[in-house]
Order: sequence, then structure tokens, then C-alpha cells
Amino acid sequence: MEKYTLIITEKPNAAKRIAQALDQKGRPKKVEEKNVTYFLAKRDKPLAVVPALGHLYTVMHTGKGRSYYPVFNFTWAPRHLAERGAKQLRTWIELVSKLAENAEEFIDACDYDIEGSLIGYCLLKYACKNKEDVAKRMKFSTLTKRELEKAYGEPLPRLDFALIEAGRTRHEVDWLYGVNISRALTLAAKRWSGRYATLSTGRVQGPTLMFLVAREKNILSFVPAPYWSIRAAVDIKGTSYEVDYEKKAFEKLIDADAVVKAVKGKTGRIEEIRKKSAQQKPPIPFDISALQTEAYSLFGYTPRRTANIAQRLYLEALISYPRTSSQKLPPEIGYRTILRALSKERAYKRLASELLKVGELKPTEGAKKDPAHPAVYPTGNLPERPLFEPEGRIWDLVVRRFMAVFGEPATKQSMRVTINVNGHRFYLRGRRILKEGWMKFYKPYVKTEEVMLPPLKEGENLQLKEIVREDKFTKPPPRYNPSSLLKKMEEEGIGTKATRADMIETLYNRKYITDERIVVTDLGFDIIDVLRKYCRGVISVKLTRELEEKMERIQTNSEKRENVLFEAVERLKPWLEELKQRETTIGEALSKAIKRSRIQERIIGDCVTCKTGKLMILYSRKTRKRFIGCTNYFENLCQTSFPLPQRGTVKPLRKPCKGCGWPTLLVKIKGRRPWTLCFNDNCPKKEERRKRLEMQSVQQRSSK
Amino acid sequence: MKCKVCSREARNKHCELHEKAYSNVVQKFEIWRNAAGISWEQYLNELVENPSTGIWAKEVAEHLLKDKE
Repeated sequence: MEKYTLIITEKPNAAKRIAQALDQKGRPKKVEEKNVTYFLAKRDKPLAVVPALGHLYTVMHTGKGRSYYPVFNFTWAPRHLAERGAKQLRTWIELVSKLAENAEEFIDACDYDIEGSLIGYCLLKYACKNKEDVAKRMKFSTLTKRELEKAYGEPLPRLDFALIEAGRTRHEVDWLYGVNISRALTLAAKRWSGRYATLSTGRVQGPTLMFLVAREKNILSFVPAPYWSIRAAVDIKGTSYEVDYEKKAFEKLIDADAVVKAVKGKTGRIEEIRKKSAQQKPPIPFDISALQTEAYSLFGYTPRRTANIAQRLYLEALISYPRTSSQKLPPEIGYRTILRALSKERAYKRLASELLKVGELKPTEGAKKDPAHPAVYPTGNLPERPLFEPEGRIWDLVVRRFMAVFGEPATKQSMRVTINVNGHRFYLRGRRILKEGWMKFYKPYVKTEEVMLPPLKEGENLQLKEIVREDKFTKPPPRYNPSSLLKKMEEEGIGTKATRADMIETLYNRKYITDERIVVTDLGFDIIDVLRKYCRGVISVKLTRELEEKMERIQTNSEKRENVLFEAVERLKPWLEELKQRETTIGEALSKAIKRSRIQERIIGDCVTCKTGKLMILYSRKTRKRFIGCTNYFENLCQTSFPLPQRGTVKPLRKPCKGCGWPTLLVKIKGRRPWTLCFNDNCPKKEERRKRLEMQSVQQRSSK
Repeated sequence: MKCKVCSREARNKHCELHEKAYSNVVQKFEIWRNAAGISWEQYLNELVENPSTGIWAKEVAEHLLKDKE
């Protein structure tokens, strides 16, 4: 067989794109072997493009058994040997090994970042048998034909070993932390209760949960303080306009009342009209965090969802590599080429053409840099298939932000009219946009609320139409949501841009937190309580950040992997000893917390009959069938019960029924669409549905 | 020693969680008294009714009211 160059990519979609871009005719041969697809292409020489499936190798304990700790000895091994449920990866690795035998050159074309570099390195070292030193590296930020051809034509002569070393260390340190502390917690609970439940924590998970617990404690022990404000309105030619009192808040009720008394029914005089113009600079290009934050605030997408959508758009060559921390757009990406391409899309034609008329295009940029990739930008390629709504929204957002950064500053004018009423000042405020600038490119994602005021003159009299004292209370600190938590993690310097969103999902999966406006569960509280008492370092933001900084220094060759690993082990040893010594106490605390959390999961809401008990999913001892019952049943106080579907899973929705206000459940049965169940037989919505169905059947019968 | 509010383990009158809430309840009374001129009992009732009061603070206020009875 003819020798070829073996190109390794990170994902199957990327392999297809790269093979298509590099094949002379753009039609590479698709080969499928044991459910693994790779591509054969022809260029200056034959090419075999084979994908990985994310990480195919992982850190694994070299000893046997899972029921003890500490464990500090590890090795890198194929994932199918380390993880249950990863069996299919064996054939994948075998195929890469087989293809490597006949290859004369090797190119790593995985994403150019820590994870991508590590994926490529592991395959080259282990599956291809030590080809990491001879392999070349393709570096690209988009999967467009132009950039891929360039990356193939001018590859880096060798892999970026500093990046790989940093990636290896990160995985190894995370493994050391995760496996040891998680095992300590899980085993403590299991040995005390005899029941198994996965409890986990880790280097980043612990401090993140700690932020949430600290915030939750502040909310739960919050005591509001009263204050008062004045709400007033003036009448201008028959229209009512709200005005602000000069003092926003009163700490004493009598002071607020005194103002109301002094101005009620009085006429005010315009003392001053002040106009101010200010420029608002265009936004900066998206890095991954900014994209996630914006998508959350505009569409309510969780950071993980946005990252996944953006990754799909990248694999379809619609946007550049999204996991970047850069806020810069270098001219090499070809601003005009992209805009010209975008102008072929009807929705962007007018805006892109307008920008193309500008003499010199200069983007507004942020301070953050990323040595591997520029900020997120559209490639200029148009979708080859109709995009799903969420994909379309993210793409549109990236396109419009890209255009907005080239826009001119917007000019806003604000106007403040000071009205003197019996010695008290009220402010009437107006605002309008004098010049849209960049805002027109970023519509509808920019809010431009204008408040237009009628023509007014200083000295003019205005009648105070309404004056009310408002009773108010200070509010507790806001709950974190996935987006603000991600921001907090970034500010505190814990985790990486690639892992933060997944970490938040893990906290949900472990049932340490619930709801979109994050609420910490009892289990979350207890985990932090145990760690705080016996293993303080694991939740220390300072220690985590220090370790993070050291790992980052490996990337620039200013720190060694061995030192970081040694330090991690030395830190872990005393913590694990402490955990072992207190195993019984910890086990008891955690087991009780797990039990509480399992009960909590089954509670549906307040009992609709007795109002004092809770409705809960229960199981009949006789028949083992599930039903809804009241917790007061056990005290012989309430006999309320409702039947439940016996197939599939039922989960409390914690949302009242829109028809009757009763608690609802989500039912999921394999092969059917999940549905919301209201168990109230007399629910008006059910009645409506029944009537509708009856009408339909009558209509059908009469038409027949 | 058990917490007076929730029966969890406590060093003093309250467990760690309710201790923080208790100190907040006591501290904020001065602000309420100056602002609205209300009594301790009225204050506790206000806290129980107020939707912004945290659950632990509410539990402390309820317990203090019950104690008075």
C-alpha cells in the first residue's frame, strides 16, 4: 500500500472538513471500519485523515481496586481501560494504530489549545508508537478551506510541548485531587450507611461550591432594613411624567412623610434644564466568557449550552475557534473578505456594505490576549444547511458583534430638568440617541430606550400630579446564575475557559445545587461543611489559584511539571490523613445529608388537602407501586393520595399547574415526549382538553 | 448543647447557621427602631412577614416570638 501522511483531528466533523479542504477535488474518500470513519484524500501526496473522539487517553491508577485511598501512583492509559462504558474507544485506538503503521509522516491537526494538543500528543505517543517527536503541527483558528490549506502548507515543525506538558499536569493534578478526596467522602458515607452514593469534589469544584454556599448563607440569614422613597409625577400638557426626588432613600419614616406633606398639591417651577452628551464606545469582540454571558442574558442559554453550540458552529466553519480568551481581532483574519462574504446574506447585506465603504477598518478591542487564537469572529461562510434556532441565534450574535466592533461610537444625550416644589427638588429625566454609530450593527441585541421630553423652558410652572411615599426594604444579595457564577470563577482565576461551564454542570448533576437562580441543597451545604472542618485547603480559593498559576507557568517553560505534582501530593497527604481519622463522623454527616437529599427529591409540594403536610412520591409496601401521598399519613392526620404512571420516571417540577395551581410532575417514558402531569382530576385545563377532544371526535363523526 | 431553633449541635444557644442569623436579627433592630419607631415584638412580626427575610432569620424571629409567649 502507498505510504501516506496521517493527519489526526480532534473530532469526526473536523476530520471531514479538513479532508474536504485538503483533497484536490474536494471529495475525499470516506472509509468506515468497525464504526469508525476516516477519510482518504489526495493532494501533493496521499493523506489519511483520522479523528479522535475527544480524549482517548486518560490518567489511571496503576494499582487495583477502588475502595481505598490515598492513591498517588498513576499512568496514562486508554480510556476504555480506565472508565466503564467506554468500550467502543478500543476499536477507535486500534484503527489509529493500524493507520499509523503505514504512515510516513504525521500531522497533529487537533484544536490548538491545551486539550487539543494533549489529545493529539497522546494518540501520537501511545497509539502511533512514539511519533510525537517527528510529528508536525497544523495551527488554525477556523475550519475554512483557505486557513486549513495555509496551515497544512506551513505547519509548525514540531508539537508545542510546553502546552502539552501544561495539559498533562492539569489532568494529573485534577486526578490526584478528584480521586482521593471523592473516594474519601464516598467511602466514609458508604462505610457508615452501607449504601453507595457518588460524592465528588475536586480542585475547582470545591472552591466553586464554596462561593455558592457563602452566598446562600448570606441570603438565608438576611434581615432586611426598611427605607422609604418618594414617587411623584408632574403634569405637562395633559401627559403625566415620572420625576425622581433629589434624595433617593430616607432612613426615617417621618422624614419621608414630611416631604410628602410639604409638596402635596403644590406647583413647582423649572429651576434648571441641563443637557449632556456622551459617547459610548463600540463593544469589544467576544471571548468565550463574554459570548456565554451575552447568550445567557439575551436567550437564557447556560454557559455550557452556548459553548456546545459555538463548538458546532466552529466545526461547520461558520465561526472561528470559540474557546478563546482573546479580545483581539488581528487584521490577518481579513476583515474585508469576511464582510464581503457576509454581505451575500440578505440580513447583513446593508450593514456589511456600509462597513465596506469605510476607508480603514479598525476594530475596538479589549485588553485580553490569547497566544493561540483571536477573539470569536464569523468566518464569512454561510450556513450550508438550515440552522436550528439556537444555532442561528448564536451565529447571528457573533456576526452582529463582529460588525459592531468596527462601528463608530454612539452619541447619547441626557437631559435633566430640575423642578423646585416648595424648596424640594425633583428631577425629570429624558434621554435620546443623537447618533446610532455601532448600535445599528448590533440591533436587536442592544437596548436603546429613549425617553423623549416635550419642549420645556426654565421658569415654567409645572403641577405636581402625584406624590406617594413608598415603603421599601433592602434586598438580600442576588443568587448566582450559571452565567454570573462563570464570571465569578473567571474573576477568581479558578478553572479554565474550557472547563468552567462543565464544572457548573457537575455541581447540578451531583445535586449540590438546583434551579437556574442557584440554590445550594442540604447535600451541598454538608459537603462544604465537612471539607471546611477537615480538609480546608480543598475549598481554599487562594491555594487553588496558586496551583492554577503554577500550571499556567508550565506553558511558558517557567515551571516544571514534577514540582507542581510534588506540591499537589504534599498538600493532599495531611488532608487525607485527617479525613481518614474522622471517617466515622464524616460518614454519619454525609449519609444523613444524602438521606435528606433523597427525601427532598421526592417531595412534590404542599398537601392540597391538609395544607400542613407535604405531598411526596411514595412506594406501596405491598405492591411496590408508586403513588403520591401526604407526609401526614404517617401521623394518621391525612389520607390524601393520588395515582401515578408506573412506567418511566417521574420528577417533581416545582412549578404550579397553570390551570389549578396544584404542584406538577414531569413524566418521562422511553420513546415518548416528556409531559407535565397535573394530578388534579378537576383541573380546568383537563376539562378544557376533554371538551376539545369531544368536539373533535364529534366533528370527525359528522364529516364521515 | 442543641440549637434552640433547629436542635442541631451548637456551642452556645444556636448552631453555627442560626447564630449568624440571630446576630443579624439583633443588630438590625436598632435600624428598624430608629427608622419606624417599632417595638421588639413588632419588629419580629415584621421579619416573619417580610418576603426578603432569609429562612434562617425567619426561624430565629419565630423562635424568639414563641419564647416570649
